[in-house]
Parts: sequence; C-alpha cells; structure tokens
Amino acid sequence: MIDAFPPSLIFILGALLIPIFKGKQKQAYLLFVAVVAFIDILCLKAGTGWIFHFLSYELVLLKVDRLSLAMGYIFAFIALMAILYSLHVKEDGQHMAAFLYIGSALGVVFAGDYFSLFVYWEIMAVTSVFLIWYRREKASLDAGFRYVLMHILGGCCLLTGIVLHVVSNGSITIGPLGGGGWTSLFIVIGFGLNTAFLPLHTWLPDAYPLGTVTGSVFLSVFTTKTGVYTLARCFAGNEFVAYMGGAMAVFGIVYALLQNDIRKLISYHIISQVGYMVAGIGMGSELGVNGAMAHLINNILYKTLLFMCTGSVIYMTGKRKLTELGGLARMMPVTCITCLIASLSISGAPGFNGFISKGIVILAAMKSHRALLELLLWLASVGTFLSFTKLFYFTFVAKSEKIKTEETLPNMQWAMVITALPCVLIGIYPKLLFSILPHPADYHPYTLSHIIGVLQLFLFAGLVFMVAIRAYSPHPWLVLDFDYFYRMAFSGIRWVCGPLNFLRLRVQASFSKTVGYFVCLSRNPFALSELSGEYKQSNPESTFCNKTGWGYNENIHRKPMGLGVLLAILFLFFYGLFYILTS
Amino acid sequence: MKRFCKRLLIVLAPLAVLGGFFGHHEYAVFWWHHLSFLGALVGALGALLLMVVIRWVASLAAKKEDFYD
Repeated sequence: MIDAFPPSLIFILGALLIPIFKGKQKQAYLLFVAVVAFIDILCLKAGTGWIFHFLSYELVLLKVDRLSLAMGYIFAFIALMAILYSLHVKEDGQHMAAFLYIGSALGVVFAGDYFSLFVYWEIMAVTSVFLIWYRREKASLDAGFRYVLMHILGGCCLLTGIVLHVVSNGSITIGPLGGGGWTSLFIVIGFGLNTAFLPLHTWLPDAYPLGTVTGSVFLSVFTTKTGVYTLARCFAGNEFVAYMGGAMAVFGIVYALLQNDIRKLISYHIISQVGYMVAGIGMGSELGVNGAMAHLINNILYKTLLFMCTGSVIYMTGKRKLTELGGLARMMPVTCITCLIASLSISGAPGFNGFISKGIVILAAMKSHRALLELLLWLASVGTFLSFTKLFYFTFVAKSEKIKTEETLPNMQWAMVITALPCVLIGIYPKLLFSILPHPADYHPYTLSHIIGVLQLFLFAGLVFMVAIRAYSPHPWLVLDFDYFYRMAFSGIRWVCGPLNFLRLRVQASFSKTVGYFVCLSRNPFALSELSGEYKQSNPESTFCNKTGWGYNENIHRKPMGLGVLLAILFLFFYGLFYILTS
Repeated sequence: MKRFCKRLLIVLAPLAVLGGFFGHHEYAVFWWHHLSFLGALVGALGALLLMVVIRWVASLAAKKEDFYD
C-alpha cells in the first residue's frame, strides 16, 4: 500500500485532464484536485519518502520533514484559494499552466535530490510564463520573454553548480552548502535569481504586474518562496545572504514608494518582504530560520490577498494606476476591508500575522548583534507602512469622480475573505503558526514594549505621511531599475552582433553553395561537364543543381527529420518506462 | 476624512510616547533599545529619510511612462 504520494504529481496529472471538463463540472474538478492535494499533504508524515534508483543515483521525489511540510501546508492552502479566485476563467490553458506551476513548485519543496529539484525548477519557470502571456498584450509578451530569459540564465547557473557539486562530492542529496567556491556561487546565483536577489530581481517587478488578473495571484506565491525555501535548505547561516536580505528589504520599499501601478507597487514589496526572510535565513540561528519561515507563511497569505484585491480592482475598473483610482471603499466594500486586513498584516500591525513574524526576524537580528541589519529591517517596516497607507488611501479613500463600479465576482470575494481569515487568526493566536515551524518556538510577541513600539512607529510615520502627503503622492512616471543596464548591455550586444551576423550569413551561404555542388556531383558525376564555362555562358539562368532538382525543399526535408525525432522520443519514453518498471 | 485622520494622529501620537514609559524592552541588546520613544523616533526619522531618498531616486531615475517604447 502507498503510504505517501507526491502532491506535485496530483497537480501535474490533474492538469492533463482539465480540457475534458466543461462549465460547472470543470470548476468542481479544479477545486476537487486542489482539495485532494491538500488532504494528501495533511496525511504526509515527517520521515516518509519516495525514492527511485536511476543509473547510479537515488532520485528522491518525496522527502518529508518539518520544513517541507510547513511549506507544503501553506502552498496547498493558498493554491486552493487561488484556484477558487480564478474559477471564472474560461481558458483551459491558463488553468493547466497554473496547475503545472503549482505542481512543480510542490515538487521543488518535496524534492530530496538536486536533479529532481532542477527538473521541477525548470518546469516552474516554463509554465509560469504562460500566466503572463495569457494576458495577450504586447507588453505582457515582451515581459514574458524577458522573464524566461532571466530564468534560463538562473537555470544554467543552477545546473552548472549542481554538476560541479556532483563531480566534487559524488552526492546529489540536497543539503547545506557552506563551503563556498564555484559550486556555492553558481547555486546561490540560481536560487538567488528566483529569490529576487539584487540586482537579479528585475524580472519580478517587470513581469508580475503584466500577468493576467488571476495569473499574478499564482505568480506572487510560488517562484520567490521556493527560492527562499531552497536557500533555507542550503545556505542557512551565510553572512552574505543575511545582508543581502537587509538590502532587499530597503531597496524594495524605496522603489515601491515610487510606483504608480498598484501591482508594480506590491511586486516591489515582494522583494522587500522576501528580504526579511532571506535575512532570517542568513542569520542561521534557530530563531532566524523560524522567523524566516514564519514570515514566509504569513507573507504568502497577505501578499496573495493583496494581489487578489488589486486584481479585483483591475478586473472591475480596468484601471491599475493610483493616479486614475480612488473612492472605491463604498463601491467595493469586501475588497476594501480585505485589502485593509492585508495592508495591516504586511505592515505588522498588532493583532495581524505580520506583527508576529516580523518581530521574530528583527529579534533574531538583535540577538545576533547585527545592529545594521536590525536598523535596515526597521527602516523597511516604516516604508512598508507608508507604501500601504499610500496604496489604500489613493485606491479606496481619496476622492475620484470618474469611477463607477460595483463589487467583484462572488468566487473572488469568497477567496479574499477566506484568505483574510488566517491573517487575523494567526495574529490573535500565534501558536497556530508556531506549531508548524521547523524549530521549537519560544517567543512571546505580545509584550507591552513590542506593541507600544510598533504603535509609536505607525503613528509617527503616519503623521509624517499626512503632513507631507504631496511628497508621497503617486506620479505618472516610470522609474528606471537595474533592467536599464541590462537593456543597454543587450543593445550593445545586438549592435556588435549585427555585422557579425551579416558575416556569418555570407560565410554560411558560400559554404552551403559549395556543399550543394558536391552533393549534386556525388549523385550525378556526369553533371561536371555542365559546370564548364561554355555551358554557363549559354545557359546563364540555369545551374546544374536546379536542373537536376536536388535543391532544398523545406516541406519535403522537414517531414523525415520530424519523424526521426518523434521516433527517438518515443523510443526514449518506452525505454525509460521499461527501465523504471523493471528496476 | 483627511483632516480627521490628521487630528486623530496628533492626539494618539503623544499618548503612544507616554505609553512607552510604562514598558521596558524585554530583549534589549543595544543602548537604543532602552529608549522609551524608540518606535516614535524610528517612525518619524525613517519616514523623513525615505522621503528624501525617494525624491533623490526620482530625480535620477524617473522617466516618462513610454520611455522604453
């Protein structure tokens, strides 16, 4: 009897059957698969696993411990909520991409070896881009290509690191990589790109705001969080990682404060919030890692909720810029209240989940005597509060005569309300969160000094905001990020490549012509006489190849090539199947 | 609404500073953790610092929305 089944396979296999169903049946099926995967994860017990022997390696498709279980719970819950939120979407392709994306993210979480992790990692990159492209706008298409390009770069680095690790250690088991050297460098770049390390973060605020309304909800959950998770597995206690976290936290909020697009604003906040997690992992203490994981779980809850709320606003109004929005509180009360809950949670207000996890990460920085890191994290807290005051104020409170709309679709409302509940529940009863953390948690968040300290911070930052509201007001501008340098570099490469490509084409053409002559001659050596000067002079338009009919025909030559490739793939598939069944 | 929020903040902010004198930091490590108005200081100075930083970044990097088009 199977006592543990990989939840990733439930989503991946479930994705294949989506086109079979139509209408209400499809909606029921989507929820059914998500519920089955959730129950499967609830039934998993630490210590269980799925191991395959392939060549001389052990592929661990399922490795369950407290860390992977905590990730699994939150991924499965939020996947269910995101699917509920996207039930109204008619395109099967979008649902399939989302399912494959969720499945591969769960695959990364439960993978016990680097090869399985890498395969799932790449599936995640490829499937997630369709959630951007399904928006079917030129800007989304371009952003999707940039997203894929960056992730291919990250994937190459990760694969290089893994190969170096396997060559030097002979083991593919995932474990701490504290040794430094090229192996660690390549792997940390691979993981860091998904985690939005500076300056590799540009794909995130570029692509996430341009995804579909529902696609961005999925995107906000999995890619960066699997990055954080893999860092926790391999790079806990790394000083570089800790300070990278601090830098990300501050950089994210500075850029978030400058944004006009509501989804771009919260995309920059992903970088900032992930910074807290990365800082916690980098500190490496039990408190730090617990704080990082607690913040990861809480962040998934309120960040998903924020993407749901902003998605609802965009879905109903068609507008996504703060300068065009305002006064939605009365027209969209459910969205407004849930957005307020999410804003208070991300700001770390007492009574909400962010208060608990932010407190743990900052306490870990204090206890490890990292004064600079502590100050950076405090500064990021101030910025978070200010930018969500700005988001909430200019979307829901500030007066706008232009917009007339109503509350969003019922499935979206339900998803928002259910996602908002744990934000409050964990805030009121933190033991709920502590029970699933990887290390025993001995932390009391509700002390008088902590509550008053946070209230002081909010009140004084709020006072500055109200006094200097013009300085924080949104502007219709584009703020250049590091991607400006990447674009310049690529423009330079393209400039250099232009003449080189021309030269390549000329050389290729002349070689092709020569090879063509030889091919024709080998088939008809008597045609050599036709190459003589006399023949050419008398028949200037005719070449002997055209005459003999051996020119390249795309339609004729592609078919046998395609058939050959297909047969090779089929052979490999059946060989692999046979190998797995017999081993 | 805006005026009401501002007045509310003006009333509550000094009260929060007063409240700071009734609690001590349980996990104090550095000298600034003993300040009873640390949160207020971080909030106000942080907001001002961020305001300066975002204005500086905007002066350097803000372009028209169709800059890349």
